[in-house]
Amino acid sequence: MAAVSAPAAARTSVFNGVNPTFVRYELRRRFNRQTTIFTVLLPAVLYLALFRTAPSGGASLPHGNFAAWMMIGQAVYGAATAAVSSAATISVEKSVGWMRTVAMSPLTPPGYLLVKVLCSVLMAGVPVVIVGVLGSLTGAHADPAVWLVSLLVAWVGSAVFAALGIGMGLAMKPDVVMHMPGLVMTALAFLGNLFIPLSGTMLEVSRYTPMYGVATLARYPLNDGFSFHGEHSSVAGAVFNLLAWFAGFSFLAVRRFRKSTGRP
Amino acid sequence: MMTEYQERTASRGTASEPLAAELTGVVKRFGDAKGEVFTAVNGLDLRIRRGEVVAFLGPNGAGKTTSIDMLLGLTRPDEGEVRLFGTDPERAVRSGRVAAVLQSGGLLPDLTVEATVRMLASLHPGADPERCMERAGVTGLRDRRVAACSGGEQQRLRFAVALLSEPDFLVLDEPTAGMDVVARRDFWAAVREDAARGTTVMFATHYMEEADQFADRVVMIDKGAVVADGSASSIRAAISGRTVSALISPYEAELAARTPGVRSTTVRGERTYFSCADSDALLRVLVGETRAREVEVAPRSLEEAFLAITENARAARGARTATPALVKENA
Repeated sequence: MAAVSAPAAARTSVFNGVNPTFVRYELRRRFNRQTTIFTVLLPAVLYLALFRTAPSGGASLPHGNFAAWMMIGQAVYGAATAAVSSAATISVEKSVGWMRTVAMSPLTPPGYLLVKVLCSVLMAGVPVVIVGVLGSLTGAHADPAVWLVSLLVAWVGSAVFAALGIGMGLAMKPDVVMHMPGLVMTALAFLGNLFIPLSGTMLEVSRYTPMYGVATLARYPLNDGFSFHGEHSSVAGAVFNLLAWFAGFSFLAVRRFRKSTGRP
Repeated sequence: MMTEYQERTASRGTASEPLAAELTGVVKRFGDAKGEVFTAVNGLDLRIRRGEVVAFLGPNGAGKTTSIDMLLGLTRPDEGEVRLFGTDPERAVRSGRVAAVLQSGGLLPDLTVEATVRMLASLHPGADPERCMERAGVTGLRDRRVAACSGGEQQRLRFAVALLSEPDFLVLDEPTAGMDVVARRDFWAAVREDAARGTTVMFATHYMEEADQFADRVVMIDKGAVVADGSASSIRAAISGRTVSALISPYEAELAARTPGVRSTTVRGERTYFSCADSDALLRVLVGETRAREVEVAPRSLEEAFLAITENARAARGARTATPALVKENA
């Protein structure tokens, strides 16, 4: 509340009009019931349901245990879902004409996108922390470096899905977008090897899906890239997957954004 | 002292520019799904001087909203040029020098009134959200969600948002649509207060009373072009007069139409309508010299006034540019 009485001089529009007050209100809008369920509760519940479901042959991991493997998976899933949740707010903004209000303010189009990405990244940190805390309480163990690097990659990797969220929000109507991101992300998480250890054909399919890259990179410090059946995934393949999907989603988002402001 | 002087001259860089808005030969066409082209704004020329309060009057579909969108840089014209304070409209609007209250939308339903004002205020350096809320009369609604506000309350909120940047030029697109009488009066009181400080105001409306009570100047448009432009009183004079109607035979109607002051005659259904400046003279003729029955006298409605003014303008335009217009349509 002290900020309210801050001198007016401090409230200058730097960086395309992006400022802490605007970001704070934006974040408050993002934390509604729907997103809270998907970003906070679901990863936690799924972790608690699945952290004991190690493959029957015994899960041998070079730098930790199965609970850690599941914890990282749920962190990636939660962060990605949080990041994509901008879709719902953007879709509403577009349909009620908020874009026009923004177009008549000092907030430039890049500034608007920056606020969206910033909020997505900030939100993505919440499930990562929650799943991390749950993991440490339920016996996930791994080398200290694994904890740090894996959770950090899960968090930062959510940028891919921040771009997807913007694209989806601009492309879809509010009533559709209410449920789409949660469902799509859960399906992608399954395909991306996050919930159940995949192998064989399923793993081959998985390599082309959007969550595979982040998941593989996040778990690399834990399993050195090996699946429970001994299949190896390279860092290069994961990085390529991540960059390709990030580029694709960003392209979609920017193209949709140009269209929606009506300024060619 | 030196810096103060420099600042003043710098901030007045465009103050010598006497025009708040300048639209020159602006054309906007829209294509529909069938590929048919519809011309919404057709060669609009308009200059608004600083400090003027201008009513932008026209029937529905006359091109008012499209013109305003182009004025604000929200839509790009297909032809012609728009300037605000001598610069391009997008820049003038983004900087907050020009602010607008649009007809509908533009607000987030899940935010409260206060959050909306504060969120947007954060984008304008030095904005005073409390004062703007007070001036627009939404202080009492601060905790209400936008979705729960009535149309009039939302309109006052849009007005509060428009005030945030302390604009030199306010553009209002049918600001009182959906307001009741009291809300309408309060709204205009707030705008009037702003205009008294020297703010240039342009508002679109289809209420002649609003134009009459509030504007220094009335610009009437139809089919995307200016058909009348003058002081409110001159427009009022043009639309003054009454309409007399009666059941009367065509022969007698023709005789009655020769009465001085009768401007035009039309037949709709059984009744014959006389548009006239001096209804008393016509009534004497109708009652005294013809067998006219069921005579009625009504003040001329705004629609009729529009019709009269726009038909005159169309006829004048048609006479001048009949051939080029045809060529254009074919091309």
